[in-house]
Amino acid sequence: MIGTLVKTFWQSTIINGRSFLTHDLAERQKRSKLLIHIFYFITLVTSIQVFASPSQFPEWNSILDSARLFAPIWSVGFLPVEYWETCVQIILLSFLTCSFLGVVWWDKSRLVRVAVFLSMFFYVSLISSFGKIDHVTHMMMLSLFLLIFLPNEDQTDAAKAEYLKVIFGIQTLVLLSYFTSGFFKFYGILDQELAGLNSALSPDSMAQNLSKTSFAHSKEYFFSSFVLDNSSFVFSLLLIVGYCVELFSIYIIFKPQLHKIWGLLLIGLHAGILLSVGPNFHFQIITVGIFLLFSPFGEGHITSIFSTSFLANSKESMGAKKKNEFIVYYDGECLMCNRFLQFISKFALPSEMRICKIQSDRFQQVLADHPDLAAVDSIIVVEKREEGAFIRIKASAVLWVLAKMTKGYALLNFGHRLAPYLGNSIYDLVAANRTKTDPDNCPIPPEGIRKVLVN
Amino acid sequence: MNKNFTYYFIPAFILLYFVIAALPIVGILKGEFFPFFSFKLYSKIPNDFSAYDLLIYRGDGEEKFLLHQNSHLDALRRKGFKRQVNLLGSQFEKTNSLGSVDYSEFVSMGDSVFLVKLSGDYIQAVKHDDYQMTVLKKLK
Repeated sequence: MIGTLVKTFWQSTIINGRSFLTHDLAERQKRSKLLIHIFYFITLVTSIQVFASPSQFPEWNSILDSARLFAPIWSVGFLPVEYWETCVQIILLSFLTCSFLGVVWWDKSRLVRVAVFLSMFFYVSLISSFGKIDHVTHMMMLSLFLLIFLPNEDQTDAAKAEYLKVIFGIQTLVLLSYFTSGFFKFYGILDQELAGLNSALSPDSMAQNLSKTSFAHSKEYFFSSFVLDNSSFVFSLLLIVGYCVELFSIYIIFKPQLHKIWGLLLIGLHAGILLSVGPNFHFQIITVGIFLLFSPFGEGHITSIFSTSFLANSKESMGAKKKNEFIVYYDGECLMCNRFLQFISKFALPSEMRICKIQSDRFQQVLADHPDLAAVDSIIVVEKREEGAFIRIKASAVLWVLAKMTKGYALLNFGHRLAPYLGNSIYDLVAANRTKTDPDNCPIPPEGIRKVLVN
Repeated sequence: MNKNFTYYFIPAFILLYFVIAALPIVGILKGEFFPFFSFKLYSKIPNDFSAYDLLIYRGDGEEKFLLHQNSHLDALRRKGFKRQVNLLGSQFEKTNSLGSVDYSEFVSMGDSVFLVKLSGDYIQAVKHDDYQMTVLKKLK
């Protein structure tokens, strides 16, 4: 089961028959390397900031003077407090030294990448050991952790693909974090509304958030007085928009063409938080900027999104009326595929639909053009569009075909498109346990299907 | 795609990250487990508040709180003091005594030091400095 879910995860990167982790390898790996160079450079700058004043980090001399306030979390519980100053100095200087090494040798030695991660990990552990965990550097630190798993050599195609996998892993972690955060904020609304408390739907919700941080830190923020003096549902709406940007981050994971625009939206969200509610997440902004705004998988200028994704989607909606011809490729030796054909034969089949076995020469041609499909064990739908073939696989293919036949499935298909990983996982889990039949003993497709069968 | 270490490790790590982050949410862990962010934090809009603080009087007539409106505190001390004051306050409200909690550092901060509880509405507190203060115990 775990193997199947892992397979689904990686195969979800196949868009229109091509995985965005396996094509343009040289160019994308080159871009990834540049991004990682910059990321290690920013880590170095961060480690220097540890000694700066003012900085977002606690002042170094303040840490040295605070042995009495030290309430160690698990990762620094071993520090001998009797040698407090020496320990603190070692942690601070290690972070700086390892970050210098990281800028120079990150691509040559895994040991150096481990050292950079550990040095930052211990530093953040240290400053989180005074009663409150410091969250602002979490994503940066976890990205450094995943970068440990980059290959040391980068000449082969396999190594280049590894680079892209690690970058994609970081993007997934970042986007899922935002999604989870957004999910719990909507849960918070429900919980507070049911309890009869003020929630984000209340006109003074932003003012409440703002005054909480303002009260806790005795600070005023850029829009503090404006928000406090003007209680309005507009602020509530802005909060909800922010929550939606977080929540829909899950939709972006397997949509590389949206990485850049979503990176920009998330950075805008943090800017809005800083101006209104206060917390400064600039380390998070840097991580989002490097791995999403400059995503190696996003193609073209950021504004090209309007011509590639949004318009493509509207074209797709129009395409439903346009009735492009499409071919459903199914495994002739699979009982599940045959049952699917029996099921759809109960409906009036669209005139533009054709059906073909994957054991056919026609499908071999599709495979030749899209080699990533070779490992995909699924019904495959190839739609002929003016701009070229458009390929759907797994649950996306099945639901798209069903949505063509009955409106009930159109709604399900819409829901599936928001988070395709879930539907595709269910598809793969069922497919992994399906029954294969003898090639010489395949069920005969129903009559309605035989009419649209092609070789 | 090559089925090497990262093929399995990256999705497994991401899954593990969210499972561990969810442990405090479902109540298996008491608090947040570093470095796994508990996503339920900051998910609700604050309503009324109550917070422990220390009210410090000095001989020169100066009266100030240790935490509230004290802009001279750096972030580290604010966190550390807040933790200690919360320990004092919760210990006192539970047992009506301060037990073994060490507060000697605070006693030296002024001529008279009171453990207090501030409560009210955040907006009113910030806009009009309007909140209720209850003295829990005189520390010095």
